[in-house]
Amino acid sequence: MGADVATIKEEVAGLTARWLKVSLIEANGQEYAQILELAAPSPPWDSSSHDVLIAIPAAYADGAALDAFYLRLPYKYKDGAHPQVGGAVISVGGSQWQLVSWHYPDGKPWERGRDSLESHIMHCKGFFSHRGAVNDY
Amino acid sequence: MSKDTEIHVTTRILRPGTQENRFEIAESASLLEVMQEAARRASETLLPNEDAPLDTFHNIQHHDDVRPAIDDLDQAVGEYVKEKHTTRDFAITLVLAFCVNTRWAVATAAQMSPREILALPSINLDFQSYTLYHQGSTEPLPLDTPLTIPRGLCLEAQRDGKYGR
Repeated sequence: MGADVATIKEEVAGLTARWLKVSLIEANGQEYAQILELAAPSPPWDSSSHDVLIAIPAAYADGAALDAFYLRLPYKYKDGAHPQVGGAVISVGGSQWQLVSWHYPDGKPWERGRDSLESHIMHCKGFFSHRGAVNDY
Repeated sequence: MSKDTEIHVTTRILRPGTQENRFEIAESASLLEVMQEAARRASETLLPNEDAPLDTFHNIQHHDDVRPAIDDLDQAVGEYVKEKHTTRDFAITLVLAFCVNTRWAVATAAQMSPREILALPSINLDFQSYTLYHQGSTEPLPLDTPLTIPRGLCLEAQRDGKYGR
């Protein structure tokens, strides 16, 4: 790893200083970045902000990629469920979170050095407004 | 406890038509604190925040000579004004500070293209991977079409996504 690539703790500390709503949380041996109040258009979402969890791979420091995210339950999208919020439900920090099927396009995964936790949060934010989607749901 | 000695300073924003402010401040106050007070009295907000501004602070010497930006804003104003060729007159330059996601930069021109914005050292995002948007907008900003950058503008750079596996 290059010496200039920040650890997840350093990334979170940097974002906390600038963004204030990011923290690390661990559950069942899995580390997550918890992001509170990510902006979402309302309508169609029931609230103008939502909380998300991003799973941090154990090998993140060695280059393992970030992908997808969990959405805190409950939520409503167009008064119902979003068709791409249908994955596993986990309990973390006293809340229930559901996996969202929002990924990087084929052949263009998250890449350490070029991408970061900050950029992945912005990628997740895009889901709420269908921004940058290369396919339809 | 003895009261800290105060000195008079004069401050202004380096912009035509702005008025000077004169106030007293403790000699032990840092130049950053003087700058913060100067901004408050001019009803201006330092960017990105008053603790670590990208805006610059200058000593004004005789004949309205604006000196280069002061690098060490942590030094006490009382010590600074004792240095040779310094005065008690100061000014703030409000730079074209803007942000992309949580990264702040100073625009190098009043109009810049997304390609140029993403290439700024303090932004440093690959234009082939990232698309620039106005905050909350879903309309991609064309890579080579310059946009006007007002002070305080916030843009969002995002990588594309896909639904499903």
